[in-house]
Amino acid sequence: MDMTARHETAPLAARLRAPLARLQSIRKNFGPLVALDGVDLAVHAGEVVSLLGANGAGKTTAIGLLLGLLQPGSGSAALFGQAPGSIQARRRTGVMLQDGGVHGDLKVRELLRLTRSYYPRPRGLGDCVALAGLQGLLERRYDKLSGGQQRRVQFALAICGRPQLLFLDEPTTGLDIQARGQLWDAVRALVAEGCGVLLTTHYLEEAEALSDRVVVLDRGRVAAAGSVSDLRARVAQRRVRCVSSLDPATVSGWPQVLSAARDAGHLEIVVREAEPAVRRLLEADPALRELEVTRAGLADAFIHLTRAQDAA
Amino acid sequence: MKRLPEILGFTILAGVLGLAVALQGNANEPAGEGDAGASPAGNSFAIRDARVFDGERGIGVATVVVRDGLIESVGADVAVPDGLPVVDGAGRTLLPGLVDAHVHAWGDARRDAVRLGVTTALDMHGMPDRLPQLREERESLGDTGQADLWAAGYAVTAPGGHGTQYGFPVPAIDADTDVEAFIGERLEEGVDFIKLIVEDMSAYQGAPALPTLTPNQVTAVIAAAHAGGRMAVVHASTLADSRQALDAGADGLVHIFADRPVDQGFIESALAGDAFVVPTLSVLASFSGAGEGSGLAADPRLAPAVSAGQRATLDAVIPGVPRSDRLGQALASVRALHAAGVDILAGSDAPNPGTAHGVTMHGELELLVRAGLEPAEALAAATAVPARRFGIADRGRIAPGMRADLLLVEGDPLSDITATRAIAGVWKNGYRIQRDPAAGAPQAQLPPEDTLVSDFEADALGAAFGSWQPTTDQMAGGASTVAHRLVEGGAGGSGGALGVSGEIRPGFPFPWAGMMFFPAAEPMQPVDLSGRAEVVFQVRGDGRSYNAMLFSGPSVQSMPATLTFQAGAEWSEVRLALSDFPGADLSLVRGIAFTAGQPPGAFEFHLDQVELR
Amino acid sequence: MDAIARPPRFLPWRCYLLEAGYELLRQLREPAFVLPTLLFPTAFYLLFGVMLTGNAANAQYMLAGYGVFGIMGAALFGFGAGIAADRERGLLRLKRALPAPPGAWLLAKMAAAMAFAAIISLLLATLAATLGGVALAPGQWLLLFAANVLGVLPFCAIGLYIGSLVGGNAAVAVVNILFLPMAFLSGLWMPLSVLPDIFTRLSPVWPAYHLGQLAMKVVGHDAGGSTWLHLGVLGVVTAVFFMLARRRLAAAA
Repeated sequence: MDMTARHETAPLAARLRAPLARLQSIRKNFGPLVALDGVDLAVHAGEVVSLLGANGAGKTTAIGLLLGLLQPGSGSAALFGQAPGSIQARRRTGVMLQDGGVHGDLKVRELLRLTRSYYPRPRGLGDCVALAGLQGLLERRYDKLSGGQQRRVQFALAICGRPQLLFLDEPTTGLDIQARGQLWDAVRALVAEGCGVLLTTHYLEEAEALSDRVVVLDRGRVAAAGSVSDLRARVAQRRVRCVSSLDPATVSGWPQVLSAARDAGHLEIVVREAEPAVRRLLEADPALRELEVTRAGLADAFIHLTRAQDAA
Repeated sequence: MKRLPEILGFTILAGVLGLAVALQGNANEPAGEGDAGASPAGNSFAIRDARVFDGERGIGVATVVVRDGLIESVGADVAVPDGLPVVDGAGRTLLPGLVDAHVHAWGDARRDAVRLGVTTALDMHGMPDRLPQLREERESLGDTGQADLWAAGYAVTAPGGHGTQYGFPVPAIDADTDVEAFIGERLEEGVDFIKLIVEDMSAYQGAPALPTLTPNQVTAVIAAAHAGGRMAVVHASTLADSRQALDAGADGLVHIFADRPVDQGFIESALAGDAFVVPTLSVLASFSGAGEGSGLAADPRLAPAVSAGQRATLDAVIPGVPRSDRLGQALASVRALHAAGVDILAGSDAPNPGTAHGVTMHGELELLVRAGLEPAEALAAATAVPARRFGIADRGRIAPGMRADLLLVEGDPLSDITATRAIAGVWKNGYRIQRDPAAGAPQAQLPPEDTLVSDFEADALGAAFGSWQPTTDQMAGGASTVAHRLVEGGAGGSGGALGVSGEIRPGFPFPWAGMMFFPAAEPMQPVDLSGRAEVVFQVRGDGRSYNAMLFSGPSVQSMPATLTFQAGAEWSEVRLALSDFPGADLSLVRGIAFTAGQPPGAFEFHLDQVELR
Repeated sequence: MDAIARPPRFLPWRCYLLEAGYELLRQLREPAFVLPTLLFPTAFYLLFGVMLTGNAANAQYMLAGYGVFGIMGAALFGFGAGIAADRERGLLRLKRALPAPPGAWLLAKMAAAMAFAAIISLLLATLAATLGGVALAPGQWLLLFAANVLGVLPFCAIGLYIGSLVGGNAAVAVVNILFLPMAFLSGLWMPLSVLPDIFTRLSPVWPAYHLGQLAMKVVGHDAGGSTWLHLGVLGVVTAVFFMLARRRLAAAA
């Protein structure tokens, strides 16, 4: 499974079409607390947008506004060009919420039947089962399923209506690697059909793996937005990893080295430019082996970006 | 402002619920408390500032003082003695307790009647065994909780005639009967007046369908009754029969005929004989399909005091095609009679379908007003007039010395006769009557000490306590018969025994015929026999298997518990443990019957030495 | 990618039926709800209305009273506790996000409550007719049934409000505190005249009193109040609590 596969061409084409969901200059307060302060967000068909941010950054509020569960204080929210709460708009969306919300006493088959009935052109039952990996679970009661199986059912409910826009809120929490991979495949398949996806997640690898665009929220504002590679590039960092006997304390004192640490036998160094550091390492330790140089991950970018906000 | 809708919502709710409490809160209280001021628990109290109708006319606002069950003083300037509970009569009217001049009373009838303000009633056909008891009760000033009864005992009718279909044998007059002796027997039984039935059903069914008394017999009976010092009243359904009864000297008619309107000749006969008429318009209304009974049952003013049993008879319908013209004719006849000065008495003929004890009197008052009586005259027809005509001296009027049988109603029935229905209080012998039908059910008395119930040695059928009556399935539509007599040759060489014979005929799925012992003063009243262990008796007979049926429990309609015994050729003792009767409630025993059952056929057995040990 | 599944013609009202059906199914699958709701009134009636009273008139009075008691329980617990639990679970948020037809969930719950009321009413009627010796006219049976089934609505509204006000466990507690005393003080178990005077006077404050009076009117044992008054109070109660609950639920999710 390739964790980094992306569709390079799709996002550009998608951006040229009208957005399926849009927030413009949204301000939303809860009493004295400012949840969102001038946020713009858009999701287009055939693209996956990840919404990242610490807890309390405003992700849930943004989704709530797009789903019509909340009203904006100022600014506009539109779903398929209509008011977010309208039933016509909702008939084209699928939702997987963080806190489940599904009736425990019903069987999986019954839940699917009920939710499919909400939509004008629902997906076939077999299809839903295949995409969400629910084989053998149809006759089981929802509350008798494991956490991971329940998440898969919720995913099935989200996609069973053949939506044009999917809201996935922490979709793979509690799923094992295999299940997570299956879900990612399913999402990709749907996106290939033209579905747009708004994804919130704490798993930054997930955002990296799936997203065409990332929006980082920090304390109610958009800290950064763009494709994954754009964001990575904002952070001019490289990660150098090797097996070496060098002392991290010494290495961290070198110029250009941002940080150095030992991690289970490996030496991990974060540097601005890889080449000078690598040359110096090879000179310092001829016995050095298993050298790896990688670009900064999204996690690093994230921390950097939000720390930058702090400093600003 | 976020809270505003919530505050508004709860304010509205509080307002509506408060209104409900204000309107309804009073209705639930146990009879009387709170809606007429203090509730006197004893039989001395005063009613202040009520309009008073004294039985003949309204005498204006007055205060009435009752002491020990009798009216002590009446007047506008009467002062209420200290220490006496006071009932507030402002805005209300006090009437004498009503007198229902035509009823058939059994079971809960007298309790049902008194709750609705009828404190005295005249029973027109029933068993004579209770007559001595009735006399005692109406002379007592105790807290009886039910209406007093004057009774005719057995109505006088032809063999197989109207009145013989109610499941108990009725002595009848045929061509060979010595009328004087027959009436003599009735007088010995203690009847208060004689009632005759002249009814061949031709008024209802077109052709004569039942045998009935001949005009000569009618004349003879009335003469014998008068000779014995008793009034004679007559049930007749046609103008011709009624006229004939009047001409034969009847003191009163207990129905108004509706086959044709009254004519001048009839009026003159009535005036000449100073006869009264009890038109029983309510039962004619029931015949005409007017639905009066259901209307009364639904009247919210009456509802709290009406029991389910009363509601059932009020809603019942007389089978057959309603004859809507009958009520109109009857009203016209009453109008003419009243205008001519004939005494009209109010009577319900309860509990015929469409009527009920007590309730129907209020409907009857309204019908009398429709027939042209003034409200005061209608009220008099239900109070002072029947008291006067039947020689009842101590009630029917509000005056010093009269019994405190009183009815207090909201409003003024002298202007709107239906105000009688808004009952604020009823007193019998000065004691307050509970309005709730569930209250006031008779407590089971303890029986007297005697263990021997009957040894049948006397000349007449009797018992140390309680009474014996024949009982058959005819009251349930069956056809079995029974007769009883005292026979010679009792058990253990004693002089007499009770002979019971008859025939079990098919007709009712569980046929029965025999004799029933009622341990209380009134048949089917409960007696507490939990202190007794067994019923013991001697029996001999034709070898059939017989049943001892124990009626007990809170309801008069419960199925009896049954044990069987054999009646062999020789006297033998049968001991039945009371606890062996399945499901019996020994604290509420209403009757023990000794009966034959299946298979059909003739039966005979003798009973002696009946004991409750 | 798509299975060859011909989706059924999209009939929005089908959702209402499905929702109601599944809601009923759900509730039936919860023994902790079904058993007390169905058994308590039946057992009480069997004990107090049939066995301990000999008398058909009492059996009738109790049939009316326990019928109202039973449906009240179904509505208050089904709505009150049920809705609070749903709310905590996040069901309402999810349903608002999904294109569930408006009001389908509420109507489904009301239908389920009415279904339970019908079951309770039939159970009691069967007991009354067979063991209690109660004999009513067919019209009366029908009226009693209707009073029971329609009479859940005010209590659905009250339960809805409670469920919108407090969380799951608290809601069960609140319903319990409200339910039993209200039944008792409304004269459902025994005639009001046995209560102390002050409670008898205040009894019309309880909605259960009014519904009880309507049921007793059918069997002829009521206190003679005006039918319109009872219906009016029940109507106002239903409307006020529904509207207040709506506001709360709309804001909360």
